[in-house]
Amino acid sequence: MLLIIAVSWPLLFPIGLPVPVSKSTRMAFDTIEKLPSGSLVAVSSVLSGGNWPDLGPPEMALVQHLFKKKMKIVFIGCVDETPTIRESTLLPRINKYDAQIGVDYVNLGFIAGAPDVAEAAFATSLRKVLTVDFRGKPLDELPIMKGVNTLADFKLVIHIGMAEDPVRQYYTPFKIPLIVGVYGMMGPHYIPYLEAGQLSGMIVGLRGAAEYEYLVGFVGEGLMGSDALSITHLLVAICIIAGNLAFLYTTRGGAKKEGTK
Amino acid sequence: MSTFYRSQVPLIIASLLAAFMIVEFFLDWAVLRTISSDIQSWGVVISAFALGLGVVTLTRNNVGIIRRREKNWPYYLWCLIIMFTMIGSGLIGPLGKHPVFLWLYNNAFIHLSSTMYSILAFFITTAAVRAFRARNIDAALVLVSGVFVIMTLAPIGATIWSGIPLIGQWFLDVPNMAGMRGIIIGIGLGVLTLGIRTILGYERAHLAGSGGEK
Repeated sequence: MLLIIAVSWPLLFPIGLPVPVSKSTRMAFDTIEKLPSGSLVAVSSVLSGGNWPDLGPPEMALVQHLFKKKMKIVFIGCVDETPTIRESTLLPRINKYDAQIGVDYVNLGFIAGAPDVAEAAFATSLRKVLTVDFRGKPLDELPIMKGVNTLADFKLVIHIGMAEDPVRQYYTPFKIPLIVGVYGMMGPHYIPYLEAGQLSGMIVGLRGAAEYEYLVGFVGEGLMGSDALSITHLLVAICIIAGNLAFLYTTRGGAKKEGTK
Repeated sequence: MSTFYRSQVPLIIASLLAAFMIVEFFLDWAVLRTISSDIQSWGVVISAFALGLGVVTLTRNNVGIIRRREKNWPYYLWCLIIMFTMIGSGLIGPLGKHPVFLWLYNNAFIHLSSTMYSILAFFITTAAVRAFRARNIDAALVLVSGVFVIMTLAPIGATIWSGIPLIGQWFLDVPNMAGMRGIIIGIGLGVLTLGIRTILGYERAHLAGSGGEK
């Protein structure tokens, strides 16, 4: 019950707690800022209904920044749900700054074989596994896809999901900058990839999305959920401390009782 | 089917393809690159067929359970009804954009999936309280570092005390990274060993029910 209140109260009545920007988020922001407008960017993802609360806001914040910077964006899904959730939930909520479909951005749909097989196929043999986009338009008729054959034709790749497989399939063979948006709980796991220079930035779950939205100047689900995230984390920490105090009290109480006997 | 076709042929195919992909990675030859790209495309085709196979298997299993009126059979029936409604509405033109499909997806599927994921919060909270118990010095160290990292990952940590993110970040950047590097190197070596065993035919777990380890 406490957890339900801790999640819902800040969503209904925002507190407006400050959002300090972490190094990994700042790196992602700077990488995109340094790219010239009109650069071709691939956004690959394993976004689905289940992981939307943690992965949806990072993708939304990054894509908002790309549209704001007038980049050319090629979306690809590595799970079957991704293209649908992008078309129905993500893209309608974003300010696309008059970007034209097929010219400034395209949703290529989904490649089966999540995640490594799909990513490898997209990176090396895009034209062999895809002939039309999600709307059924042939790739050859899309101005944005002109001369695009492999991942080497992109200036940046963003992957939303895990970080190991895009490092294997995107960064290692092509050495193009890679930014990832990962689950909140997986952030600490991927710090070695960031420090090794294999990742050019990392957005860690809802908190990372809040930081990124703050940098881009766009209020989305990240900033809206940031207070709820803070209060629930605080509740977990309080529960852990209270649980330990109770544990100490009971063990010491037990020892004293045994001593008096 | 003889044992040769059931286990030896798949083993030879897997070994040859795995060996080829490794050689291709290290040799920058156009011919090898083209063949490797074709093999990766086959992987996509096989994965797509696996989705269809999944539908067939699920249907067969569920129909069997419903026919035998096994325990909870109405849930299996409901699963089939929903699955075929989604598949049917998704296949009606325009593909994947039919109003019925989109209504079901946006108003039922997304929220049900998010709910399943959100339930984790309750399990994680209770698991954290049980796991972070200072029974001895080692557990106390895990507890202290865990609380600092939790409060570092929440924006409120810096508001409570500016030292929390500094200490938490140190835990993340130094002990955490050292441990994670060890784990990553260990996984890498394990995968390498598994790959070599697979290529040489010693590892047969991927042949699903036709032998296991040699």
